[in-house]
Amino acid sequence: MALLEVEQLSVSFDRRNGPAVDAVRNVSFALDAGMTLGIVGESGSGKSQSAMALLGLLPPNARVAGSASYDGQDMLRLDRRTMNKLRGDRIAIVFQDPMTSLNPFLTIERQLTEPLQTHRRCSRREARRCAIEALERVRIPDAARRIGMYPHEFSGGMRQRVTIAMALMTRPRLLIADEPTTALDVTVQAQIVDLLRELTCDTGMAMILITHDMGVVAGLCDDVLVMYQGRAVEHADAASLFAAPTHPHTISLMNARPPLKRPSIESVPAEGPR
Amino acid sequence: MTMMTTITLSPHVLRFSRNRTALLSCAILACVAFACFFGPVWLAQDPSRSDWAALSLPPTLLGGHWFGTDELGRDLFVRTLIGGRVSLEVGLLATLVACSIGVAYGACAGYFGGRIDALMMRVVDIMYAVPYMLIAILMMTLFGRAFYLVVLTISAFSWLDMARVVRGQTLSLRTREFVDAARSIGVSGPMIVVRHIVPNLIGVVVVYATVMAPGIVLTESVLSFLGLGVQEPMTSWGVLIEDGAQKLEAMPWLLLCPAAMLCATLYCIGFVGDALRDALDPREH
Repeated sequence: MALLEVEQLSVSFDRRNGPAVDAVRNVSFALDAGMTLGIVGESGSGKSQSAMALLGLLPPNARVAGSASYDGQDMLRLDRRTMNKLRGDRIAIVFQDPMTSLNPFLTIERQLTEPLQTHRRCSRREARRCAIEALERVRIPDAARRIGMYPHEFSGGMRQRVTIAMALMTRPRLLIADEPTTALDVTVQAQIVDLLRELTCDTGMAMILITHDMGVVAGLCDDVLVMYQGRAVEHADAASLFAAPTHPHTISLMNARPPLKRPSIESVPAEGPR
Repeated sequence: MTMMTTITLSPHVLRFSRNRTALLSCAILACVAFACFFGPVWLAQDPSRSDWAALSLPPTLLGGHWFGTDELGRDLFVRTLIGGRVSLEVGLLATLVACSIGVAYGACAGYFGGRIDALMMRVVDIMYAVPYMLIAILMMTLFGRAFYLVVLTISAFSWLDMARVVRGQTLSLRTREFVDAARSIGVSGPMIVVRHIVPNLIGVVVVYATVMAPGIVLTESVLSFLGLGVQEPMTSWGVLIEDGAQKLEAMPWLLLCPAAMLCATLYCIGFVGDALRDALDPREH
């Protein structure tokens, strides 16, 4: 049985004036344990809203229909308490912008240990040890010292590592990564992609990777779901999708990526200062 | 626990102690408080005793009456120190109570939003409309005169402003992504308010509290005038200033001396508040 089975998921937002906006329409997919699914699409295609709907993080004016069964429970119909037990423990999410998804007033330690404090009974010392381990797992050097620092003392890439470490604290079975590389610069993006690949391999955790970057998808995903205007327009395994994309939107997304084999860039002959 | 506090507290303390003005202000505040609470004991002088040889005496350093005397010959220095006890206690306690209520109320209203927010803020609006004189007089006739009633009455009105300020701040904080992140971890609403919202409010709260404190000290004198606060021969800075203002032309020192004490204290509180805000914000260097 699949770890997560989403059937006919729809999300619409009520508006005070005007008709409701359908952000996601009848999206279905399934995800097996240990697999990685990429959800790609342009901005506004409903990929983030689908993830938010799964975790019950939508604003109050959102209406969700369909079903999403995780381990036999329908995630869309859980009461708040059961949902709070599930998210952060079995299912974790990494947000797009690590500059804003960390609380500026709390030390890294406080934020890293929060999932443990919420879901596990463990002493402060134990939690601290786990937090340092988690930081080392995402390759932050000198973790024992850095754990006492505040988010603003970290660079963007390091902060994203921290949020990933935070998501992994409870060793979840499913990680939702909502555009984890979008806010980072290109070299750091590659590092984060590598890190995510290693972590999913090591822990056997399933991942839903939301992105608009076909390059990231190619590097990480087993399956790909292409979304366009709230609908799933193409769903295939990564290899066959890249070999033979069928939907025109998929093709245009691929073309939006600069070609890998391009003529080598010649450096501009410059006259140095004399 | 101890490990945790040493790690998270020490940078704050360090940053605070780097601010010379704040350290000096702390020292002055400590001196004022010490003088108020132990000075009269040490001087061993009854604040209501009249010196018949020195009625309405201007301040003199040699005559033994540093702040002068009033028209009954009572030494103003001792009376100012005695009065400081009441004013400092009321100011500190009422500010603390008002801040706690205001922060808790405003943060809850702002975070939970929607109908809860609307209902909670309408309650605040209604409280605003009630004249506090009326409540003060009512309290006095119902419960008699007591120190804790003064604190209670003042805080009962001062928290309203704090609640509004905090609510406004919370409204903008709750849309920040780290709140979503906390929700996605499975942290419950009340815990998000405590762990994530309130620490982010510290700057606003500290600054607003230092703005609030002077008003509270002066409100106490109004309540005393109504009979709810302290009564003769006991006194407070507010009462002394109130009396002194009426005799300003004949005996200006009756106003100037206690007012100078009050101003010095309030200035120091302001500096300490500023430094606290800087020290508690991790992004300041």
